[in-house]
Amino acid sequence: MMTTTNDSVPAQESEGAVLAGGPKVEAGKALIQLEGLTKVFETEEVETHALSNIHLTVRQNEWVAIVGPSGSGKSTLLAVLGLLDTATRGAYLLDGRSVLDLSSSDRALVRNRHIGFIFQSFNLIGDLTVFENVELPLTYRGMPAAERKQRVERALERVGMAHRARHMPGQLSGGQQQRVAVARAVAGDPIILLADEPTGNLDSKNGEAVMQLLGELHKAGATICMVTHDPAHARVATRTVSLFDGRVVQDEQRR
Amino acid sequence: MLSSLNQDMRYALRTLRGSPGFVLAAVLALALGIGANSAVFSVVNGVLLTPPPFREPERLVHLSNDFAKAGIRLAPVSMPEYRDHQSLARVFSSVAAYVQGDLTLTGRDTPVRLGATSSTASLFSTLGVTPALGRTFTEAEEVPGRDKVVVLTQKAWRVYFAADPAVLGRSLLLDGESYTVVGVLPPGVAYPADTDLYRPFAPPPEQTTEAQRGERYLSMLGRLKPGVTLEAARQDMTRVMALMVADHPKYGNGGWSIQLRSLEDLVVGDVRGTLWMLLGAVGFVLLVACSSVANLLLARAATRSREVSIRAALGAGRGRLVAQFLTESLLLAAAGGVLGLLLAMWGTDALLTLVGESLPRAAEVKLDRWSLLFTGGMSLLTGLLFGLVPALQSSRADLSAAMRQGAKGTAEGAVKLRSGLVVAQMALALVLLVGAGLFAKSFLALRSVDVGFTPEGVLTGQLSLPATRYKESERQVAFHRELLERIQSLPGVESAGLTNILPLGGRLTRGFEIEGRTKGPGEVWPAVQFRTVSPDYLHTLRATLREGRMLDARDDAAAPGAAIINKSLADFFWPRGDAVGKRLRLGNPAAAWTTVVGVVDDLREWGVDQPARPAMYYALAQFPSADLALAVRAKDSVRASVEAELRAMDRDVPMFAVSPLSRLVDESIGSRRLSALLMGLFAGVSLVLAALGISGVIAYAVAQRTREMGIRMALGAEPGDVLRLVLGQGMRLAGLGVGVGLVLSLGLARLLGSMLYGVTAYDPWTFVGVAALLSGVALFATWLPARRATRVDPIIALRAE
Repeated sequence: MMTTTNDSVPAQESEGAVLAGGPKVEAGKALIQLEGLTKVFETEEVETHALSNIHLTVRQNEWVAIVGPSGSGKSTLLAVLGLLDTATRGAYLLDGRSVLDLSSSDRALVRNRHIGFIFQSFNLIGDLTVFENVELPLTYRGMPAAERKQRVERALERVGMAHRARHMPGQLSGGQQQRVAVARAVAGDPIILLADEPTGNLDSKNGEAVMQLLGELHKAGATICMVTHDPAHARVATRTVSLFDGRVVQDEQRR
Repeated sequence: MLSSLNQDMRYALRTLRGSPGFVLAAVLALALGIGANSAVFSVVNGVLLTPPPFREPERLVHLSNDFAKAGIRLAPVSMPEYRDHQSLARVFSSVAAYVQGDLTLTGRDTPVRLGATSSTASLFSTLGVTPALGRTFTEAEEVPGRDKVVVLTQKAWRVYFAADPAVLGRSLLLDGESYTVVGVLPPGVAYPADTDLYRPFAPPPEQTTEAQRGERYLSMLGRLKPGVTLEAARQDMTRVMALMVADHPKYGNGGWSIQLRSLEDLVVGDVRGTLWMLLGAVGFVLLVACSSVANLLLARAATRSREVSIRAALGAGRGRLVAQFLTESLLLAAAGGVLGLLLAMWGTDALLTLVGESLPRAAEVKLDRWSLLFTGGMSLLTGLLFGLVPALQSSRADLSAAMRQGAKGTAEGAVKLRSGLVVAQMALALVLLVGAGLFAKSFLALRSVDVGFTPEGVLTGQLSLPATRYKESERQVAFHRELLERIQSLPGVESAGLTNILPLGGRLTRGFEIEGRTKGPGEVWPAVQFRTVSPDYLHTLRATLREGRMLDARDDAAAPGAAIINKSLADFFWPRGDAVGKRLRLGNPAAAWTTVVGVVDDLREWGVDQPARPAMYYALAQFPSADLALAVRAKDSVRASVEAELRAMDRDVPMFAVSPLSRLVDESIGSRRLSALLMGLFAGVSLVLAALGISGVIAYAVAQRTREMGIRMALGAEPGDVLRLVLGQGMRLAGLGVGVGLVLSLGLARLLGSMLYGVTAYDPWTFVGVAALLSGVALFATWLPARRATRVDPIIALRAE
């Protein structure tokens, strides 16, 4: 079904929290609201519109797959959603709060408290143990050590990696590393998970395992935005947003 | 906060452990910089910053006579002048007079020469010193016969009396006379330097009369009244001098003045400028080291940019990222500081060995708590200095890089920063090289000065005949003659002689008259240095006779007075070359006339860098003395046999201050040698660091541009084209560094002017030579990575992406 991006997409009702112990979010509430979001890359000679006039609302407990060909703006959109990059124009409300004009340190704070990242290349820090990698965002939050420990252990148990807590990332397989990355993303109880090609660096077996893990998180109430190339994985999501030349060309609600 | 710091520390230690090569290079560079700075600082601290152990030392001033027109500077005062200053001056709360000498301690296994200062009792109150044991002496003891008491310095008490508290009241046999120890001074007090003991200055009454006004041999110290400035004191001295001139016609038509110098000035003298200059230079070395480490950190940060992006993506603020990087920097700096401290311990000893006795207050130089504090502070400062800029640079995370696979940290800002650091390194290295070049040329110029004598192969030593047994001049002369006969008969000895003052050993001027000449109104004659020498002394030094003859055995006590004069004196009074045969008379009108029998070339007896002054050499046999210096020219080491002959003649006459004459000459230019050596060392270290810096930056650039090189070669570029491309990049940086360095050097060179000899501060050859050397080194350092660039396989390069 083709929809305009201004259409509000009904969200699945949920108990409220993304994960047990996380911040309470009103069921069906719009977590992400983009209004006329535009991202322009300027060089001396060329102006490239990576994102053009995007209107998008993501409600709580949605699992949105962002798809599109190379250069369509998927990763740029995810970077803007994750406050890794800033938009040139437009409005971006995260959990009802405008985040487009935040200072660098405030953006870091929002990323740390409200957003969980899962990257294609796992992005674990090689010099830190599995435990320390998962602990890292909690450390930046200034959380007491005892609470950090409790949360890290719980997150690792959720992804089935508690037994590898003292290992270094280099000692793990790709699939295991991505499970650790997922644990890191959820350990801080974010209101939304952003996943950039989470299976892109994995073989099919490990890829399926990670998708299953994301599915479990979604069932438990997580809101997920996932960039993917794989149509099969996109179909697992509850909603698919297709981009082309920086514009939303299709927004398909599946369930 | 503490938890974050703890985590940062743990992580920093872990990451540093994973890069041993980087850590080694960084810590070594820092240790060199910090160690060298700490070593030089400990010298500066000991010599310049540590206050002397006197009460309110800033109020102590040294008084001397000046008669600039005659070339007399910093001359001592006479007893009548001392009395005048005591009574006329209004600015002193107390004054003291002293004269340095030595006494031989006997009555033990081997005689020991002790530095003995005869002083007025007021010396201790003027210095503001109270004894650690017993008492100092009193005015009542400044009388011949009551003056046989001594106060020991702490060092002498420890070295010669094993710190025995029962030393008080003990009798010592000094120069054959019995003295009683009445006190011991606190640690560190030994003024003037080399003093082991003090005894009362008790001249016989005939030596204190008004007739002695011209006999200037006393050093004088004053303590300014509270609140009196040096300038105010100088004005008062002008008033005092005017009164003295009015009262005493001996001062002639004016020209005499009283000079005041702070005690610090007197003690530290010319070394101050040299030490501050060296501290500045070694600071440059530290800057170069910091630049090197900052460069290494930037290169390392480039490989960690992805990690930084991940951390930032996970919510690390910039401050937190900077803190993480700074923690690593400070750990490196701490390690560099610890290793630097070890280097400084070794370096301080090495420095003291290098400068020998030419460094005043050398005994105060040690790695004390201030040096440790300085090292700690330096480590912290360097950690921040080299760490902050890379930390700020690195913390500017490209956040979206976390989402890109294979993203590399090639921020243009970091590349510019690294290039800028290399330019700074090159510039600083050039400044140090220019300094080193100027000092090296200056030192070589000094080494090539014809001093008028040949110091090599001459052994020297000091002798002091006990006054009790060698009071009569006949006994002194007999001792001199027998000693020289014995020494000259030793195997290997070429010749030997005695003198009152060795070259570079001090100044002694005497007033004199010339037969048939009277001073015209306002005419000023130059001060003439007075030496007494045995017949073979000038021959032993290989002084060159220009006219007449040398002194010989004929010029004994019974013969008519005979003297040699130097060329400067001859040229001043007898420019037509007819000095030989003229007659001189020393001071006293009742004295006999002495005939000039020969003229020798000038001997630079007052410093290699000092012009020769008029001098006269009288026959020792006609002006005998109990305190003499021996000079022996020999093919081999004859010290032991000379000392054996001396013992055989009189076991209570030790030879002290034994040294080759060449060492005395070397030590006279010790501070210049130190400057040349240290500047050379600093410049060498900086040159190596700068070369490594430019090589590293170019190597990094080559690695970053590997694909570009491949494309160029695929398109037909020859290896030579690639070589030129890379060399051009390196030499542009080097050229910029050399340019900035030259401008800096031209600005700083004028500060060195007064420390140079025989070379101007803007010596063009030095500047050009140094610029060429640095450019050559930079070319070589760039050529190594450039050569690698020419070996890039185009196919591999094209696949590199």
